[in-house]
Amino acid sequence: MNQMDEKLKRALRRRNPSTGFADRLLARMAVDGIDMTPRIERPKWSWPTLRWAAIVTVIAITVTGISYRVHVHRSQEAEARIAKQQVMLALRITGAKLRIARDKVKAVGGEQTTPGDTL
Amino acid sequence: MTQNAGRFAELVREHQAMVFSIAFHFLHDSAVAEELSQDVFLSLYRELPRLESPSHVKFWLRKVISHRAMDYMRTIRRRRELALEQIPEPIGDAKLADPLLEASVRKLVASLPHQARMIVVLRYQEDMEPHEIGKVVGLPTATVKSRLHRSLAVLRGKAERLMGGPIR
Repeated sequence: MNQMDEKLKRALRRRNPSTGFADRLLARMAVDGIDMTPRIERPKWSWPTLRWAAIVTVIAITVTGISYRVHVHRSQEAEARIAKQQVMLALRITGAKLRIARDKVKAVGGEQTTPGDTL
Repeated sequence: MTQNAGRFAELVREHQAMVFSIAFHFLHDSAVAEELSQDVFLSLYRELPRLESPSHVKFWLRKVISHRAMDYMRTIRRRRELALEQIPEPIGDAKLADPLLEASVRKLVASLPHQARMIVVLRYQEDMEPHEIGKVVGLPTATVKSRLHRSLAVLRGKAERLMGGPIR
């Protein structure tokens, strides 16, 4: 720090106002009718606000949950319908195959019992 | 005295020297400085719920007293705004053994133009950095630096002429 800086710091150092400054200020506030009783500041997140926020949140969660359950139930129903159709198709195919096999067995059985083939 | 009033009185006592001194060193009138300081503390009381921390309170007080003091000076036009080069020599200090006595320095500072004077007061009374001063007086940091530099050069030149020798 140079000499000029030091001189300025010394010359411009803080000084107190005359004695009783704060008391005079409070007295002036009293005369001006400024209310010095503690002010009740409602915080940004007061109870009514929080209560409404909680209610809205619960409703939102409930609606979302129900919607999800309905969606899952409908999906399961659709899947079951498709599965049932596939089972029915498989059974029809199997039935048809069995009928073919039975007819063939019958045809082979008929050939074996012809009189010319026996000893 | 209510608890609220007691707490506010403590806050006033904590900051009264800072607020009063900024006004006093700028205005050179203790009665006006006290009046303005009281006005600022009255405003502080109304503003307190919106101030978030002790450092915010300090910043707010510095800013408001600086602007009130400059506004006051503009209103009364007690002194003409002068260019730095036109600053008159302080009267009667030439015969002093040490012309850079505190009173002489304060007179030299008082002769600076308003904004430059406030910048010097905040720099040397409050030990504030140029970027902090910029926020208080509403000027870019570069402008604060240049005005401070220029003011110091002028103050040094005036002081040297009074002393008849160089001041570093």
